Amino acid sequence: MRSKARVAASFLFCCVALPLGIAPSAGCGEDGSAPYAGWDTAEDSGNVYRVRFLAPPWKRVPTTDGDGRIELVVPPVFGSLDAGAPPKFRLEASLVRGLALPTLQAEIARIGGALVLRDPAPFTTLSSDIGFTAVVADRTNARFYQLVTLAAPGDRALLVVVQLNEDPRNDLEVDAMLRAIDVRPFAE
Amino acid sequence: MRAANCHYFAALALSGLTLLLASAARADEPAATAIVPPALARDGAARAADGTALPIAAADSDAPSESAAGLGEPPAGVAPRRAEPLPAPVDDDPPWAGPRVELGYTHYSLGDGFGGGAVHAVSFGGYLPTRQLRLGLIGDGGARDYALGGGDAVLRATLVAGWQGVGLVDYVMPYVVAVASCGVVVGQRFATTFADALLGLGVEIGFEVNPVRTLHFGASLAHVRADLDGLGYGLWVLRLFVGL
Repeated sequence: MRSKARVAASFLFCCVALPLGIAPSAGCGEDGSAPYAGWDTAEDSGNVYRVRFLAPPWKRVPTTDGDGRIELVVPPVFGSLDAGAPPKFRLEASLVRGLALPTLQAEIARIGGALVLRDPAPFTTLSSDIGFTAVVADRTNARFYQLVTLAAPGDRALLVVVQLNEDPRNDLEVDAMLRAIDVRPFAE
Repeated sequence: MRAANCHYFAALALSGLTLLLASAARADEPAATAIVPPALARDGAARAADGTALPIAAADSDAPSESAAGLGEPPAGVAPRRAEPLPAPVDDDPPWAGPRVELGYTHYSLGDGFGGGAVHAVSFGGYLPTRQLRLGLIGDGGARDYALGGGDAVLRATLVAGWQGVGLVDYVMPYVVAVASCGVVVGQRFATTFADALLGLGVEIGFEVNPVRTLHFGASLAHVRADLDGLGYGLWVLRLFVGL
C-alpha cells in the first residue's frame, strides 16, 4: 500500500507539479517561430520608411540626422566595422525625388561597368508596397548589387541598394530582408 | 475470522500437498542417462544431464577403451601432469543490472519564422537502474532546416528525472519524467557564423517495450519550453529509440 502511494505521489509530482512549476518559466521570450522573430527595425529620421534587419550580424551605421538615410552593414569580421576589407553586405536606403522605375534605371546607369543580371521587374513587399527591382554586377570591383525602388509619399521614391560579394538572385535572406521594407502608411 | 483461518490452513495444506507430489514425481524419475555429445562438452568428456562426467565407456561403447593400467611409470625426474580443474559451466548469465543505454532518432521543430526549422537528430543516452526513479542523460546531435539558406547544426544534452513503472505491465514500462536540456545551435546568417545557446525545460512521457533480457525499444513525446538567443519556443520532441 505504501509503495502504491509512493508511485502515485511520484506520478503526480512528474505529471502535474513539474510541468506547472518549471515549464512555463522557460522560454518566455518572443515567439521564435513567428516571421522575422528576433529581427530589429531601423526607421528613418523622417519616419517615412523602416527596414528590418537581423542583428547580429547586421549593424546600423550612424548617419547624419535629417537626411532620411539608413545604412546597414555586415562587417567582414564578426563584430568589427573597420577591418579593412569591404563589408560582406551593405544596405543603403534613401528617399529621392521621382518615380520608382526611372529612379531604378538611373541608378543602374550610375554604377560604372554594370552588367545587368536581372532586368528591372516589378517588386512587391510584404506590406504591399509596390516598386521595381534589378540585379547588376560591377565588373570593376567584382561586387553584386540588388536595387529596389518603392513608391513613397510626396512624389518620391525609396531607393534601396544592397551590395554584396555573391550573386543575390538566389539569396533568400537578402530577398526576405528587402520584402520586409515598409513604407508609410505602415502595415501593422 | 474463523472462516479466514480455515481458508488459510486449507491453502497451506494444498500448497504442502503440491510440493510433496512434485518431490515424489522427481524421485520417481529414472536416473538421468542422457549424454551430452562429446563434441559439445567443453573438456571433451561425456557428461550426464546433471553435468557430472561419465566414464568414457558409458558414453560410447564402440570407442577403444583407454586406461592407465597398461602404461608404465613415467621416467625418473618427470612429474606426472594433472589436468587443471575447469571452472563450473555457467548455464545462464544473470540479467544486466547496470545502466541501460539507448540509441535513437529525435525530431522536433525549432521554427525559423520562414517555414523551416525541422530538426532531425541522432540521440544516444541512457538511464540508471534506480527502480521507479528514472534518472538519465541523453545527448542528441543533428541538423536544423533553415528555409533561407544552409542548415544549422544542433547539439543538445538532456537530463531526465522522474518516475517509471517498473513491473507495472509485462514487457512494457511507461514513464513520465521532467527534462532539462542545454545545447547549442551553430549556423550561418548572411554569410556570418553564429553559435547560440539552446536551453529548455519540460516534461516527457514515453514507454519501453522489453521483449527479451535488456533489449528494449520505445518512443517518447516531450513538450519543452525552450529559449534560443532570447526567443521562446514550444517544442514537441518525438524520440524513437532502441537500447540495451
